[in-house]
Amino acid sequence: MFVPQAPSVQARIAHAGARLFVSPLEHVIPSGPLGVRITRRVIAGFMALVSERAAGVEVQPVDVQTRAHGRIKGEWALPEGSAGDGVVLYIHGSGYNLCSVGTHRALVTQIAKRSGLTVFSTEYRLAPEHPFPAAPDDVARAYDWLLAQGWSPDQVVIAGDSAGGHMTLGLGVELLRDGRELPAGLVMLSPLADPSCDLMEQREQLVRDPLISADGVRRLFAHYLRDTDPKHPRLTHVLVEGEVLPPTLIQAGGAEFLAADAHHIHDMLAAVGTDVTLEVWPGQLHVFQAQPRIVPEAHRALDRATTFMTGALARRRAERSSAEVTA
Amino acid sequence: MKRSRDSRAVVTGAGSGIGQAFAVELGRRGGSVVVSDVDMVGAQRTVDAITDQGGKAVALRCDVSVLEEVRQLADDAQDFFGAEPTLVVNNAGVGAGGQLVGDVPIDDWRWTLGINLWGPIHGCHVFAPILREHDYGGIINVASAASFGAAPRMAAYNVSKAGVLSLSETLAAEMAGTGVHVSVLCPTFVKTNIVSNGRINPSSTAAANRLMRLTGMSPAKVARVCLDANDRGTLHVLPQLDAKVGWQIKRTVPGLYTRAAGLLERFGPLRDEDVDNPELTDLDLTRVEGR
Repeated sequence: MFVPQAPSVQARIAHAGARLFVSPLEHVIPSGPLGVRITRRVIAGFMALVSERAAGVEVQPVDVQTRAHGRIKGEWALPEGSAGDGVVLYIHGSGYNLCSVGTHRALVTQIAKRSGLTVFSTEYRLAPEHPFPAAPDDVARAYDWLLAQGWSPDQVVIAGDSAGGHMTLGLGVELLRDGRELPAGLVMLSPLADPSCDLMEQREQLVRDPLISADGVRRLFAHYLRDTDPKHPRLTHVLVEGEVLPPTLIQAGGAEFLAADAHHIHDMLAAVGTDVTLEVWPGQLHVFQAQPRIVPEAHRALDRATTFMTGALARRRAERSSAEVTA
Repeated sequence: MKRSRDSRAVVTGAGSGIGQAFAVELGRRGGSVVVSDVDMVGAQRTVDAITDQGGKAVALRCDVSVLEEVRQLADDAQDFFGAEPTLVVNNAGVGAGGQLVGDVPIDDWRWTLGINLWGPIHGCHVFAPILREHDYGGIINVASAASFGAAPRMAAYNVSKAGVLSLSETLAAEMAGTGVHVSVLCPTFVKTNIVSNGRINPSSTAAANRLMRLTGMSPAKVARVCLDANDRGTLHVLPQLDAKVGWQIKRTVPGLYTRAAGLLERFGPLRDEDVDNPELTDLDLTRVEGR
């Protein structure tokens, strides 16, 4: 299994179709809260069409009020015959305004099925109703709640797509700076790095995303940012010398608006010495892993991502047992 | 055979603007691309954009005003391709303007000519013999409408670009009958992010952006048009209407053209007091660079 040199025919068709039929929607849908509600429906429909739920994975909703962690909402994805030696905290993408664990349920079941790992897909509050920092606060609470369920950090992989990838990085950085034990690995699918959208805009001048424009994303993020400077340290993560994150895999599509962001995160993590791998899949669109009904690369990329997850967990387990032997 | 397809291309100044657009378009057309610039961050961004599409590219640092560095670039490019290059885009250039002849410091003259004129001279000096020997390929020199426009307060830039125009015409004559196509690109305004990223106040930025949207062509379009023209063997590439009109007027009535340019300078929108205003000077610079 390898990252291909050229996109499949299906991917090329998807690219052309998106440019012709989906992209014009941006000009029809208003940019206010009403537009966000419409877009939520459109995307939910789209995700239902293009994604494919894995068989043999049980989904259990969670909605609990806890004293220590507040209200925790999300879903377990429990694959048959799971060994139970690791868990994935999955943070769905949203542009901080759209989507839910429901839109990403199929993707999460695929991850559970392919990794054999239990996945907790967390819900978090969205703009325009709940601006920054509601989302990363909710995700941090979900992580702490997950540990309270009996998992130790070295049994956890944090993963997310798009805005969820952004928060995956953010949560990793926060755990690191709080001096806490780090999870075994991080996986970011088409992650966002720069909420000011400057990287996006530079990229757009070179390679135009057929679906999403930097202008459109900027209007969407305005609901989330409100008056907060996008350079806020919890929004634009800057790592300095010595801040090493756990092993990280980044996947992005070569034709998408966040490819430059993916490169940026990779370069930043590599510069401080994190074991980081970047895969850019030529010709692919944003979070193509969630579009297996359209592009055959989706499952191949997920296979690589889940192999990375189980590998990271196994490596951390081996490190710990060798440390115990030495002690 | 189309020279822009499946090329082994060297593009100087490919870290931003038109050069970046040339590099990405060549990558899209199946080429291997050497992305050269003094700004390695920009160059790497260009390489990423090409390799993300499944293309082949490498970033190499090169100051085109230094002959030895251009020689080194040619050697490194041959190593990267594993063969001789087939297409060279001498694009690296800087914008300069705002002052009258006599006021422009001599160092600014040397700096502008060093990059804008000596750069393409070095590029042609080093690469032309390689292409001639293999009797195949293309050389594209990026000049500007300023190469014949003779707009006031842009002397160093105009002279450098006029030199590039003459260099290209001479080279084209010398290459006649060989398999090497020579083209010289003469754009006017090209839509780049120079305006939005420049040090210009918001109202001027809005005005300049409006101007660019109205009159400017995207760098990608300019690069596509120019590569197609080189494929056909066209020497003068003027992708925009205003450049074509100016070019015809200048050739038909050169004296009248120059008098009109002088009138524009005296009574046009950019008067002395405006030029002394740093914000407008920056705007003017942007328009000069425009690419």
